[in-house]
Amino acid sequence: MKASAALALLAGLVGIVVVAAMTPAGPAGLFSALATVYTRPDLLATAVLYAGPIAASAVGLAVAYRAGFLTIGSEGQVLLGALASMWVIGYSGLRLPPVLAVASALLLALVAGLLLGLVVGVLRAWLGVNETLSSLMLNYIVLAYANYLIAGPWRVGAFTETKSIPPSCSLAWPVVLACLLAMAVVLEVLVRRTRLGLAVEALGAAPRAAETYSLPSRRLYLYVSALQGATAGVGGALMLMGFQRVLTAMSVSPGYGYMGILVAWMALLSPLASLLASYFFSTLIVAGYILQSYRVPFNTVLVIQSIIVLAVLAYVMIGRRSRRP
Amino acid sequence: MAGEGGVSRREFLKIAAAGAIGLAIGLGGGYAAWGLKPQAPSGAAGGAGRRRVKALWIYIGPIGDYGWTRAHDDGRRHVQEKFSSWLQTKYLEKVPVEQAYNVIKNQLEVNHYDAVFATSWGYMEPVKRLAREYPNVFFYHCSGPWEYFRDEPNVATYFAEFYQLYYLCGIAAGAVTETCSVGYVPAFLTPEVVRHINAFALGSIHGAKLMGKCRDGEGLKIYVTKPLNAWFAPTAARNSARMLVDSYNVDVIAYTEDSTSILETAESYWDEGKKVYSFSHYSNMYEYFLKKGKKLRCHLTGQVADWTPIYAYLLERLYAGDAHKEDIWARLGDFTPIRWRRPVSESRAGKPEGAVYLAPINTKAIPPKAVYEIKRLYEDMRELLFEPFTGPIRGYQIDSQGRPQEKPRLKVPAGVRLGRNELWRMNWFYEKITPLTG
Amino acid sequence: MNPAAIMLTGLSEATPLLLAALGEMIVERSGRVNLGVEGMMAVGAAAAAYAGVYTGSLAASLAFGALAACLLALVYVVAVVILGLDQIVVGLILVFMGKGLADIIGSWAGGAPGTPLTPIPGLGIDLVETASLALPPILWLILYHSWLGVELRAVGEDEEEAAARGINVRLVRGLAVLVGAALAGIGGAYVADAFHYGRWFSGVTEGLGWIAIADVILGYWHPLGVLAACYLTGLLFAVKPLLPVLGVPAELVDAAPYLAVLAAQVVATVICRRLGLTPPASVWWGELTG
Repeated sequence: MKASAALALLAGLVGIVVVAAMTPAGPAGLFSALATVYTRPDLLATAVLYAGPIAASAVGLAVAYRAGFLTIGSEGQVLLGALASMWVIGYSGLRLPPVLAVASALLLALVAGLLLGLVVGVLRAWLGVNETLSSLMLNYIVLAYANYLIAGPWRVGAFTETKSIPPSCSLAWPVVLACLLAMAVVLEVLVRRTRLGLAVEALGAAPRAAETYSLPSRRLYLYVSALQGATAGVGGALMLMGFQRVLTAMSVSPGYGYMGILVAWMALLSPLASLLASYFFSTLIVAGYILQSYRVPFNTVLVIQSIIVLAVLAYVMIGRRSRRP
Repeated sequence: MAGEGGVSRREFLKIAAAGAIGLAIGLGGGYAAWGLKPQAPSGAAGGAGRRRVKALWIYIGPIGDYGWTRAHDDGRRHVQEKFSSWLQTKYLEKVPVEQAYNVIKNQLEVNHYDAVFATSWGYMEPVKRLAREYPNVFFYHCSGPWEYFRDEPNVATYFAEFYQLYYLCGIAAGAVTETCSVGYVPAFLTPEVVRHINAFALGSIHGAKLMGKCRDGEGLKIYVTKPLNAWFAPTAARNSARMLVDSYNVDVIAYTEDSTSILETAESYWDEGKKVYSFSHYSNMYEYFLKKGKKLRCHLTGQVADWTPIYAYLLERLYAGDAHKEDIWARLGDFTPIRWRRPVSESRAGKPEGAVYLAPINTKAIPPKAVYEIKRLYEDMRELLFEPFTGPIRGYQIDSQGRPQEKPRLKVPAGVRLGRNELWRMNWFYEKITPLTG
Repeated sequence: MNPAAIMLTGLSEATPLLLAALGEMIVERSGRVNLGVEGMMAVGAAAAAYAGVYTGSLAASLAFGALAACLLALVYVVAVVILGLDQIVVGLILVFMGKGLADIIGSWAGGAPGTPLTPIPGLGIDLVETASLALPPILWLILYHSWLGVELRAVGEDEEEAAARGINVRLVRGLAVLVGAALAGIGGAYVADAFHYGRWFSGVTEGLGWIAIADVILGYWHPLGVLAACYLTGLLFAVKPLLPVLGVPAELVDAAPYLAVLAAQVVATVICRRLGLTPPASVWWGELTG
């Protein structure tokens, strides 16, 4: 059985090679683009910026998934977080000094994400509404709302775009990294060392079991959904101030929140490991940008990420089965 | 599923190690087989001639749109063939405006280009920033006003202008409409699109009057839908076109959207037994469908751009070490060997020439009298003897979504012709236009 | 306004949803949820356009759409039905894979027009529309009046009992997933062929797969219910372009289908619980806790 677990990883590698072979760059092109990224400090720094919204989504999702709360609302929460920060910096009329503006943008993004996460949590806890579908619908609703703001009240000029945030409010990669590390460490400790963490684990195993920790599962769903939404919301602020700077009309949402879902599973639902996995995914994004000039569609990155996650999950599953008597 | 979370650290490390080994093997193989290795930068801009030029095109849509982006890519491919001995080109498609800065910067860092052609209005801000950071790279922005880049010595602007051709398309529309209702689907209401809409509207009144239809043009209805708020939006464009036909009885639709979507929608009405007409936009879509074995019945004529002469001119200058700030605004007659007007019988209206020209004219649908008028004015406009925006023209100011902001009033006094600056700041609709924006 | 034209547009807007939703209904009736509909539709549309451009045959276009979606769904069959990985996670992975693969396959077709699907003269609706309207009654017959339907529902309702009765649970589920994928693939192919002249572009099926999943729930896992739900959503899509004329911001109108689905989902959940109904696919009705 050991061999068949390794086979899952091998199948993943073969899958990536096949997908790369379907594009004009080919497998060699893919791997040398990755090599370019990993040998250039400036690109490695850029990758930290892109990892911001992905990792921020993933750390919260990891906790939520441990509780068996299968939300996919991180995408909408990232976007709402970005809108909240944009409002603070560009449209609130508050003329805050840069440091204060950045801090309040982060805070408001956190609150916005938290509230949106709570909507899903409340629907689940009180009405039993399935969180996967409801959070997905909310993603599209937030997208429409963002487009409304960008095309309407927030529009600058004839083109559908908002103001750009000033350079003084943009975040350098060490700041982004610090934010991510703080969130990941807190959540990792919460999961591994606290009663809440144990209750979350128990809730995931069986909804009623959580009650043994004298925490009603209804309240646990609320905690988890709020926590998950808050981190994704911060991700939105990191996206806007880290690299996006301006918001324009979108036909599809940016996708970092969705990548966070993949990352959380690939990191086997550990917040700290999510950080590493997001960074790896983010270097794939940068490689994807390089490959675009070789006529490789950018979403090829998505396929490769999916294959990696699938291979890891299959590896773990087979390995665990083989250990059973 | 939460059970999966309980994986031990050892297990995770094992996976990570396996992944790292796999990656290392792949990387080694990749480097051995094929390199995307950083290349040495070429000579500095503004100096003497270069031995090689590396140019990068940035597209807002996919080259498969067969409209705006395809037209630019055709231009790129043509100059690549023409200057294959010293020119190397690459392109990036579907680059969203908000990612443009990072994407282009990434490319400049890794691949070191000498020239960047940014082919969408929305790339103005990123181009301005990049031009300051990379003084040795020459940037070319398509459709942006030169005033925006006034302080950037290494940015040139260029555009292929269509308002004259839209006027001619309007004549065709007014001449063929049977419902006395024509429509326009705009992507955005930028000054460029607004002047195209007005030119089309003025032309359609001219066409109806010429044919003595719709109470000499007085009864012609001209609808403009809400802007799509995206340059490439095939689904939204199709929906808007269907609404114009189904709910407003429109039978000729002009548009600003980067794909063939509206032309296809019009053609599909013929399958349902309804005559709906539309136009080519930026690329010669009629010929393109013909090559694919499909003879479009809905195609009246249209506005086509050939970017090749513009790109060739700009790149030759760069190659010669003579790139400098300039603004190209190509209209009828520009980039043609001889621009003076020809007799109507020898007119090349409907055939390729210069940077902008008219798509093939559908003589089956458009009455001969209107075809004659189109050719006559086409020739006159090559020599700027006729201008669509000649007063008196009444209109009303609009906001970015096309909502009227005032009562119609005189916008162009009798006998006055609008110049480039007024045209590039146009923010009003001709008074006969009905915006469908609530 | 022209009510007849809007009804007809609604019908054609409903067709891809109906195909995909009926497919997903079959999957869910076998006791699994495949969230990957969005990805399968995307791949179906891209493969259909590619086949249409290079063969010029409408039949080949639709067949390739179905085939490509089935190939993608094989991932689900192996990972979920055989290996037993989490169905929700694998479903989501299918969405991402499908979107990416669609962009790769679609880039081979390069946006060229393929094989347009045009209405049957005099009827106003096309062949696939007609066939998709015939599908719900046929599926109703199969589900409730054939051994095949009995086995499928048996697997979905209690897999251990079904296995005890000698039904090959994995086989039935695997086949259900593949049939569901084929229908979703044809749904995607329909979007490219009927709405966009056989042409593909990135995001051509954006969001439809999710709405199809919602329509399965709104139609209460019954073929005729799904038909009604899909037609209502289709009508919503048909009316959508008219709303900005009445002064509603178009961007907010874009949210309408999703708001409607969310509201319907909440109401349906509450009603089902009040009435004590156990829906056929109980995965959507996680245990009410607290």
